[in-house]
Amino acid sequence: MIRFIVRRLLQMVAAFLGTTLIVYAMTFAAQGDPIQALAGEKPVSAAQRAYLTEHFHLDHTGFGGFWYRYATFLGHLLRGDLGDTLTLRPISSVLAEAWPYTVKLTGIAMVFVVVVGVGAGVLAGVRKGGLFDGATLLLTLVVIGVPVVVLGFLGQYLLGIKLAVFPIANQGTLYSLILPALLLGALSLATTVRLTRTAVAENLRADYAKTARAKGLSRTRVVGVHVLRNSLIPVVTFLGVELGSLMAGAVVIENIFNIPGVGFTLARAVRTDDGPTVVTLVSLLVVIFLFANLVVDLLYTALDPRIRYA
Amino acid sequence: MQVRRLTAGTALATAIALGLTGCGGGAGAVSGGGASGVVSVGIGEPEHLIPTNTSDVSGGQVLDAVFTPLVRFDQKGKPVEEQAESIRTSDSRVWTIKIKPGYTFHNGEPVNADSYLRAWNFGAYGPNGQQANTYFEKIAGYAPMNPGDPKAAPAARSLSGLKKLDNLTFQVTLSAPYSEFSSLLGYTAFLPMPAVAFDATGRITRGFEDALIGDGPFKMRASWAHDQSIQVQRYEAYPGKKPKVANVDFKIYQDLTTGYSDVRTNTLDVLPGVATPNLATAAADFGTRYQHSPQSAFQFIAFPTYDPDYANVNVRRAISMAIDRDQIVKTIFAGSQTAARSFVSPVVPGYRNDTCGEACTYNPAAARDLYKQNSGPDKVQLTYNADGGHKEWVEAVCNQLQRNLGVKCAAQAEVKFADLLPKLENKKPGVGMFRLGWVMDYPSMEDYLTPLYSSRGASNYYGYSNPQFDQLIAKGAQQPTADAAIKLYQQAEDILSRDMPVIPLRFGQNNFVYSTNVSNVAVDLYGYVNLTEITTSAG
Repeated sequence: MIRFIVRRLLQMVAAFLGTTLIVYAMTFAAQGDPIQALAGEKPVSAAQRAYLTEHFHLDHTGFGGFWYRYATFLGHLLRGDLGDTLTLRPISSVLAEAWPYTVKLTGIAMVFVVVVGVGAGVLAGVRKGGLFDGATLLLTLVVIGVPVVVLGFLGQYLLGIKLAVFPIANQGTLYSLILPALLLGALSLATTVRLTRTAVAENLRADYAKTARAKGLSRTRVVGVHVLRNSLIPVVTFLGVELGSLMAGAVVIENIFNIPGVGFTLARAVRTDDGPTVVTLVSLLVVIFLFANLVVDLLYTALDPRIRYA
Repeated sequence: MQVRRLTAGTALATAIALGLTGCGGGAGAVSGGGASGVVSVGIGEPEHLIPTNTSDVSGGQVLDAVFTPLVRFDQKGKPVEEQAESIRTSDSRVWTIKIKPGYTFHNGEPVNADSYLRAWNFGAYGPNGQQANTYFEKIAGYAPMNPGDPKAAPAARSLSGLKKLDNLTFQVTLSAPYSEFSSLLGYTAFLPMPAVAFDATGRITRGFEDALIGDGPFKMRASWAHDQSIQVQRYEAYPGKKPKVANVDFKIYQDLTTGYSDVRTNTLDVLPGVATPNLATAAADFGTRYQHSPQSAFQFIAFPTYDPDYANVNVRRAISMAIDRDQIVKTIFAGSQTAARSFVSPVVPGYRNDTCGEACTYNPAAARDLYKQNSGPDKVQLTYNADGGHKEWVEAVCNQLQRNLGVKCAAQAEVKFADLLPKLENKKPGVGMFRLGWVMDYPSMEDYLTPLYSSRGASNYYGYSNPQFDQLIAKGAQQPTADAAIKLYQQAEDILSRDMPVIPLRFGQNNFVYSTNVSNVAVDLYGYVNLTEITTSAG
């Protein structure tokens, strides 16, 4: 087990270096004139240009300049120095303010996905072919087919403006995060329902489930303990990967609902050509994604005792 | 002269990549609508809140509440003393500024001549890298503080043109006469700063920007919550005109369409800038709570006059006459902008209607004849930046040119303005005509004429040069009074209508909406909500 974790951690280092290099290279290549982008359509004063050029090593260009800047960036990152945004705020303090929002938002979304998704999936799987199964099938198909940006605006318009059930934008309260979290979770929810349903339906036909029934165990216990535990493996795998989609969805949803989280900050950084912020944020998201998937792998052993890591 | 150019603000949600998770604590709540005696105003996240480093509208709006400028502007755009008791000059070169007594910063420190000198010296010092640095270039002693080579150490740390006469009076010597210097003083770069703003090394004190201390009608109620809100409250010791509301919350929006929806549900009180996607429905959604007010933005199409295709004035006139400005304003901008037929904005003193005359009057038949007679090019190109929401109107203009002149017109997009600019600076071939915009810094004809049309203008990308024009502008700056200068500026503008280096298209307007909680809402020339006059029904 320990050996497995250590090996995975080492792999993560390689994955981290690879992704940051790619992200850094892309930002480097796509960057036009970040100082002009900062100023919008105003002319930039010579004094400010000189100052920012020096601060961000922008005078190092070309192939050599790229490696120099990448090495500098990585060196600072390893020392825990996240650097400054192009408007000269420490990225660490930007993150400290943005983090809680995104954690709450995705946290609610994840809980929603797991509770409702697995719940509905089990119900649909147990009563396969029934009315509930048909209804969820139809509904999930519709939701899967709608892009998150459409879903976001639609939800905001219908539930926020027309029905006025939820506040239409972030107000700093947990309540105002519920609607965006539900919309964010909706996409993963649909897939979770389908996955759970299929796995449950399949496992119910498996020999061990029949044996359990034959032993006289109650149907609830068979479904709730024996079948569900085995059915969760594909779902957990999916959720680990889905964390990435949630991150991408957060960029869209946080913008629509004006939630100053990580996605919101990242979207602005992309728009304003703020290379340092983009690279740092994406690098951190990569780390989170890698860790989440390590956790998923460890969960397998808990779900299925037959799986062991050596 | 550095002047703000227009960023047409359609915030589009560029959604790429990823976003989320980790661990963390709580976050400050943002109070909503006017219910609690708080007026909320929707803005974007300011880049900075140090006066000499602020040039965006959002930052300017906050500074307008937290600081008091030397002059403000009346309805006609003339400077009126605010914190200044008097601003005098006899030769437009040496200016004596006297400050009204009794003003204090929010920490109790009195506002005096030193408050201004330290702020201006800081802003003008090159290595401080302040965005508004070049606004100080008219003051004597600017050059030694800003050597051309960024690696060289400046020879001076303060402006030799600034002299303290007594506690409340100081003298400003300009390097050359400038008749409208008192208008320039209304710009945010010229605000005073308290002593606590600077540490021993002469830099901005750590944390000062987030907990700003100004001398204005409002003081900070809490630290700047980045990307969330900036909360201010009435400063009770303010000697000037006191605001009617006790608290103002600037709520920060990334996407103005969200702010718009918030006003619809009375969660936000005032949104000074309605985003383009909402313009079509704003009148229906808000009725009389959707209003317009004049603003300084000026949108135009520029000709590369160095390009043989556009070197002929009559070709330029013909193209201008083939554009139906009124139709574009009506169909594409839903009346949120007005058609322009002059070369300076209506908000500046000295503006005259329709100085462009016949050349800006839509007349397709005459345009076609003129174009043919002068054998204009068979193919024209109109380049624009795709990051400013210009696509629709540029294509509409192109269609009109195709139809009315019988030419082929290509609307060519550059991804970002920052990509377009170097091409213009280097006069790269293949750009053709291009769109540009302009927003003034202070209401003066000169603030349009010099940067846009003078031979060495900072934003004259069209290679236009007319010595007679340059001479009139230079003479205007030397006049003893602003009124005398205006006469010369108007003569200069007449030259433009003959030379047509650009095609005036549209003047901007502030398009604002407000909730049912507030009344007496006004938005000024700069796009700032007047927070002194606004009232809330909840008291």
